[in-house]
Amino acid sequence: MVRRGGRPGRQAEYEAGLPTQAGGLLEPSRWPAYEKDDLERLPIEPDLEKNLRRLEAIFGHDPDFATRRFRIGGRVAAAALFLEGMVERPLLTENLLKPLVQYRPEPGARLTPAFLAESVITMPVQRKVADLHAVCDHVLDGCVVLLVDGEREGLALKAVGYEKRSPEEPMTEAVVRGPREGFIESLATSVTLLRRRLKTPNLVLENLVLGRVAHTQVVITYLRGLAAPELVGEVKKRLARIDVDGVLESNYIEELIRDHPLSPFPQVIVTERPDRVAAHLLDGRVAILMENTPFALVVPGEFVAYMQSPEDYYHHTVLGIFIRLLRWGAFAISLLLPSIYVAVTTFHQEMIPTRLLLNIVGAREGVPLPAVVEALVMEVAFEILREAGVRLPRAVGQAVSIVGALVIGEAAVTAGVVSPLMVIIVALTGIASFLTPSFDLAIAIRILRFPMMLLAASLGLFGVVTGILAILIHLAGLRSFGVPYLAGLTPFHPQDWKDVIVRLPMWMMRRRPRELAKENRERMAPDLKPHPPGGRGRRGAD
Amino acid sequence: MNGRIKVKTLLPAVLLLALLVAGCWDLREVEDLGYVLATAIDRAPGNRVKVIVQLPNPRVVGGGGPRGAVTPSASVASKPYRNYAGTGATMFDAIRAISQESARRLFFAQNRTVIISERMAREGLREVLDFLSRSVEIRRHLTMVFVVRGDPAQILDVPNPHSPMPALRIDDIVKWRGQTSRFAPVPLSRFLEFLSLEGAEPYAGVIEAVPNPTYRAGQGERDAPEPPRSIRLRGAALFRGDRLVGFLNEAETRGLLWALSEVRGAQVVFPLPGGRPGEQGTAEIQRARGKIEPEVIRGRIVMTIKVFTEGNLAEVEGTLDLSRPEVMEQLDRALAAAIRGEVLAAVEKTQEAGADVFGFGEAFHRKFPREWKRIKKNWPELFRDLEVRVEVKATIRRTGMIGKPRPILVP
Amino acid sequence: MAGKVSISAYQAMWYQVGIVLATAILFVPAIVAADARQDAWLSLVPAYLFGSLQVYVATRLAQRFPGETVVQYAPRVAGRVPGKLIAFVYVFYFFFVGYFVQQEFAALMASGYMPLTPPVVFMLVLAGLAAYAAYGGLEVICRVNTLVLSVALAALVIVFLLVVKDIKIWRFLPVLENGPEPVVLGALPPGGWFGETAVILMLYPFIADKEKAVRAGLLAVFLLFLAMELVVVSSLGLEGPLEAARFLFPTFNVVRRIRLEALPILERQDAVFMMIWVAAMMVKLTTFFFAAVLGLAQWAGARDHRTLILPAAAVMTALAVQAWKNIPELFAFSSEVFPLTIIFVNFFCTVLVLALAVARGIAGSPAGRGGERG
Repeated sequence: MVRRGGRPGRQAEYEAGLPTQAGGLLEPSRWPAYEKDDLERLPIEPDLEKNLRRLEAIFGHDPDFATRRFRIGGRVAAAALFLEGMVERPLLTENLLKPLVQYRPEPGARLTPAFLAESVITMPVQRKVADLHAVCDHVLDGCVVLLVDGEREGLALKAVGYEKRSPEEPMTEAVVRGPREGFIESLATSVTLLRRRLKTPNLVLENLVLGRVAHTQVVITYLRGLAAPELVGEVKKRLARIDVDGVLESNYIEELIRDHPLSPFPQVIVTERPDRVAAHLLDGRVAILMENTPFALVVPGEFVAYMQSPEDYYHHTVLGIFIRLLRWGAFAISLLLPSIYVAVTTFHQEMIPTRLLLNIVGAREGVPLPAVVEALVMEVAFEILREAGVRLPRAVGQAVSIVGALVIGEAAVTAGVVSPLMVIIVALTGIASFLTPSFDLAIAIRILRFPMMLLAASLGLFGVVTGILAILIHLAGLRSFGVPYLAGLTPFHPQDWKDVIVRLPMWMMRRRPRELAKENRERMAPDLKPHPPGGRGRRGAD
Repeated sequence: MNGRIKVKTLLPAVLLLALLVAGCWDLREVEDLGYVLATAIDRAPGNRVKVIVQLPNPRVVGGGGPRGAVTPSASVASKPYRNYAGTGATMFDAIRAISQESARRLFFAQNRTVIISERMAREGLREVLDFLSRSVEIRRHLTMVFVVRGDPAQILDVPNPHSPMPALRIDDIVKWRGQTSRFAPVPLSRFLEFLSLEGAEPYAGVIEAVPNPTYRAGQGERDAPEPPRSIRLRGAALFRGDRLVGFLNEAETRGLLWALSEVRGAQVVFPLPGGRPGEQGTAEIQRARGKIEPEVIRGRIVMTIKVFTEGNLAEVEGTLDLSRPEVMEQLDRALAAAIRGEVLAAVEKTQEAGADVFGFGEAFHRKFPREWKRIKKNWPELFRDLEVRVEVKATIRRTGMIGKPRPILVP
Repeated sequence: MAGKVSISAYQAMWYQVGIVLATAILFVPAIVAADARQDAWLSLVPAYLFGSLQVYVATRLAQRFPGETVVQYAPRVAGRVPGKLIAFVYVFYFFFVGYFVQQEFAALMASGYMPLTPPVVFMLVLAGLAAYAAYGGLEVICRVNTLVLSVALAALVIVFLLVVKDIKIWRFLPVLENGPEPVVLGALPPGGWFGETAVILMLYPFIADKEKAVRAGLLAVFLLFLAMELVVVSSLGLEGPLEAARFLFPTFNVVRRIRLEALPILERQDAVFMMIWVAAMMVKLTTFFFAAVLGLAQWAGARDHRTLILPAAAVMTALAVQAWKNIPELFAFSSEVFPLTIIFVNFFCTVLVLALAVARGIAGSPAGRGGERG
């Protein structure tokens, strides 16, 4: 729908003001779409009225498009253009309209925008604009554009002031201990949150606009000297490739910059926690922030990163170690438990201790479904309940999940359709999947559980190990922005494992991950282990 | 590139489906199997083999499922187990014959007990043992071998509320063997290993169904009666090669186990030194270690069985002053003598039977490999006249919660 | 962004350990015990020395031609036709080990776990995984191997700890009952297996820190020696040499006989061990399959070995299906023919090529022609 290169004769339409046809105004939906190239070819004319007519033709009857005409010092005609909901009104009145109207210029002096910006207007100036495209762009971005009669340039003034929520605790990444603020939909606020955590000029923010139609602000951010320049270059290269009409959520970007688009495994870290982004930047990663969504992207995202939660570092290391181990265990459970249950009960009955086996058999007697079908049915039922719980209004959702799980589970067992053990297995699997800190990784595991169950049903534990190996080979072949997906796990570097299977004390994790910060790996001064004064471990001069 | 992606993604899916459609060759639902928990083997007429297997009734012994339907009546449905018997020309033949009656496919991997009838054992176990060691399902080291005195079918049908299944009950009794060490359960793997060694012979545990003294005929109007019989493990069966040649009684069995270092605990009764006749003490053995040391003394082979043991005093009759160290030493010596007596009795009995279950020959082989090559042909004869010395060192460590026994004042 | 495929010398070391261990633990204890009886654990010492020699020779040869595989330089060293012939021996040897592994694998799976499943299913599944990994290339195989082998070695140690209480010293006595000959004879099969580390001839061009290769290779054989000792000692110490030699799969028997009255849930868990072993077998098959496909591509002068993967996998599986008709045949083969065959290739061929290269003063340029994409 958007074509490159303007159409001839378009200018005439803008000249004529609002598009008309015989018998009145044309329906707005039938107006031709305005194109960048067309607008860029329309410079700001010295004739203010002509400019305003053209802009009216562009914005038409949009109720929030405001044109405020006034005279500078009562003499020179000027107009301020802005979108009602996007600018801060007091700022506009106090710092732009008032000074301009009250200004008494020397008779005969030319009121160039440069002059006005320097001496009259007390508002931060964004930049000078010279064509209608720039005017539109800034107006849509929440600026006030000042046009002065007789000048070929206008001024774009930053006065953004739209409704936004204040930073709240992120819903998806709640912590017991840790900062309680998350990114919000406003890019400026999000960037501030990040700036506050990394107060260094080396925090680089590079701006980018994505989306032909939507024109969404995107910021690439990294720490100079830590992030590998090749990595930054690669990120920019991939973002530059994106040419779509709209980028409404960061997943639009994520899907377009992934290394392996069809792999179920996440390759980009998604987070709404500024502290987490800051921690990743300190590792030498690159973050991509975007307006209109609180979710920031961080690359590269290797497997281990999805098993780390920011909270791991906010609690005592012993808890960190324990939680990590628990998490890996829960990860294995959520991927494997149903399939192992199916494999063991239908292929390897010798593995079950005799009395437990008799229990299982007693419970299974009379259950009409084969174990694998039973497992599949229950897993699907669980997924339905879970999905329903997410989609339904919050208050109802909880009730539905609990009632659904309880009632369906209990009724199914009483009716003898499923065995009680299967209900335990499915519930445990479902709960365990919530221990995976990354929602994206949890999704991958949830989906992979089903083929695993089928493999288990056809080849037993051999099938299960086949599935595990296939996943492993798949993972070993993945890369995220040049970093091998299994970096940190294999090849084996004891240095890196300190923060993988467990979370060792801070003072032991002296180096940054080897695949990320290639050069600058020292994270902290050596020998930071605290020693009580006069204690046994006290060292001399160092 | 596009084509490759399609192949890459489709191929696993297609293969997975193909596997499912064609697959599941070895899939057996858990409730479709009959878990054999005990196997009894007997000789049937015409040189055939009779196999009795015990299958659990999971509705009764297993939990779960809708409860309450089973009433504790003596109906077949509420019996916790069911024994099937089959006969055939070989062991495997007999087992498969059972499947003509059984609704469940027999599954042996959970089997922990093999019971062999005395008659079968006396005729030789070659074919039975080959099947047992060749089968994938049978776990040789988890399966205990027993010889039954009496009818094997009877052993597998002894009701009891504790461990209602006789098979599991045997297993549980074996678990507590350290209470007396008066029976000698032996894993199939060990039995087979001793069978293949030149200088050692295998032994097996002995199992019996004995009348239950607490059973009273005619009882049972109000309450369920006590079961009329109990399963009892006692003694050991001696083999020469694959043939049963004799039995050890309970004391002799323990004598054997002392030497083989298989005593995990025991109660040993010994006469009290310096006491009146008939006054006895009882020691609770907690640790025991035994070893066999062969020597050649003046051209004669002499075996020395050394036993080291320690335990507590569980019971003392009479009025010994246990606070005096020299009294404790006397007790140690008396305990050692009692143990020595058990070992010597066992040696004598095995020499009579000609079954070297102690593994004297193997011990000699290990220490004197060259000489062994010369004498191994004559070993059976040498074994019968072997000189065996027994040295026991027993230590009583503790005396329980009291020291001196309480003097009983007879009015 | 992805650089040239390269692995570190220590990855290569893990790799050499992984591929040998996978099949060696299956058969070796029984084969060694058949000759050396209770001295089987001693037999591993000469085998270890022989294995070290082999890996040393192979690595030295590889270091003469740092940028090439044996298939590439053999024709230059030995003359065009004989060289091509030697190169083909290597390529075929890799295939041969590949389908031998498949067959061995199917043998155990069918007799131990899933008797009703057609053995060809096991071979196909394993070949499918191998082909999938071969598409990923050497780096993928190495990464998978590191994970699989760490689990496998840990499992081996855990199993050992679980059975160590039942190991009886007397089962190893008397030492050297029949003199040293049986010990040396028994060393031959494990020596052959240790020599499989010569697969380094195909991997060497991909190793990044080449100067560490010799040390890594020797360390690999040493690790293997330790792991094999663990297996042989537990196998003999639990069952005695006579019974151990009677088993087809003595290592599996060690797992099967774990008995813990305190923790019966750990009994009969051999299927878990089977899973780990399957993973190790997959790595081994993949390695040899990859070496074979890469070698074949280089031998035939094909540009990309990837196109050969699927047909080669099909051919290998077909060979495996028809190769041995029953277990005794397979077992006899793996104790009598197989060790000699692999010693012939790994040792004699390698020594021959090295000797020729030294005698004729041929060496590769330090930079070499560069390994092809792996």
